[in-house]
Amino acid sequence: MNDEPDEKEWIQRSLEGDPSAFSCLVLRYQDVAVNLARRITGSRTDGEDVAQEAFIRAYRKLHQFDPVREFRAWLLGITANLAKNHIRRRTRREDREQVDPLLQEEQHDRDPRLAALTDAMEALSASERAILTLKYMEGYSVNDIATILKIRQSAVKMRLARAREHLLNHPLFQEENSYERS
Amino acid sequence: MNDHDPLEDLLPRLKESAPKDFARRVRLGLPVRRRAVWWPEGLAWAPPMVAGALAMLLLTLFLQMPPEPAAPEPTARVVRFELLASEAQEVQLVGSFTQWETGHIRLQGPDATGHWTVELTLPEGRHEYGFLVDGHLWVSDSLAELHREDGFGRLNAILEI
Repeated sequence: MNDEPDEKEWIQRSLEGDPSAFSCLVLRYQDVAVNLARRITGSRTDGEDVAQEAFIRAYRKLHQFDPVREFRAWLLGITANLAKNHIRRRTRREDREQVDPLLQEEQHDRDPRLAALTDAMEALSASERAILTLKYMEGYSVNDIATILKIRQSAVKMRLARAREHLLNHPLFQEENSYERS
Repeated sequence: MNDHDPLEDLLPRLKESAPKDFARRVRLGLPVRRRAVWWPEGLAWAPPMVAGALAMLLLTLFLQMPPEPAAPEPTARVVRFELLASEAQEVQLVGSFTQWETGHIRLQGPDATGHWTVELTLPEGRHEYGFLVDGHLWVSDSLAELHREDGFGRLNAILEI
């Protein structure tokens, strides 16, 4: 993905101080960054704030970016780290009740399993939510996720297995399994 | 036996897009980084300098009035000018405070990140300026808060103190 010449040019121009070039990077990756931050924080507005901060952090630290790496993965690593820090601060402030729901009403209406899945994910740790998002929504491998989150592959595998077990033990999936068995 | 992972179907459906104004919000939050905007080499930069010098001359003549007693001491502020131009050999700051003359203020640099910098103590008021790179390229400080057309199709940066 980072092999696209225009992306390399955007990065170079951003390094030279051209904010419009950086805006091109923002437009390309805003959806994945916002989605990851929302999933980890469990909040739409908190996720947007975190993703915004992640882009600004990336702009400031762009000179540290290794062009051999994938910019998207580098950005998501920053996003995940900021989102986890955000949760720690939010927990200390004990303002979780102010968190706005992730799913919109129409999504609940369309498929109640999505609402159940969202609820089930809330019980997971921030790291587990990050791993699920990177694997199932962004298609990253265990190895890639370990690099992005700067944790060991064994830790990714363990947390992924734990998160999957938690979600698949949800009554929703238990019912589906019983139907399949009968 | 069913090996299908139901999460592969459901989790991608939870993906949400960024709000429409997200990129604009990021843009507004980006730190100011002085940016070099290179003018075409074919265009001489002398016209704005001449226009600025004439303007300063007229202003000087206009201000030659009888001395006012007990004029208050003007305040001043240290201002840092910065330009990213890693390939440049020399960068000068030219503006109303140099009477639009070159050769007075040379920026130090480039540093490891390609930045040229200089700090000046300027009196309160409105100052116009631009950067002259390698003696012939006029560079506008596009991230200055205010700009003014110089009458020759270019913009001078404006600094209000």
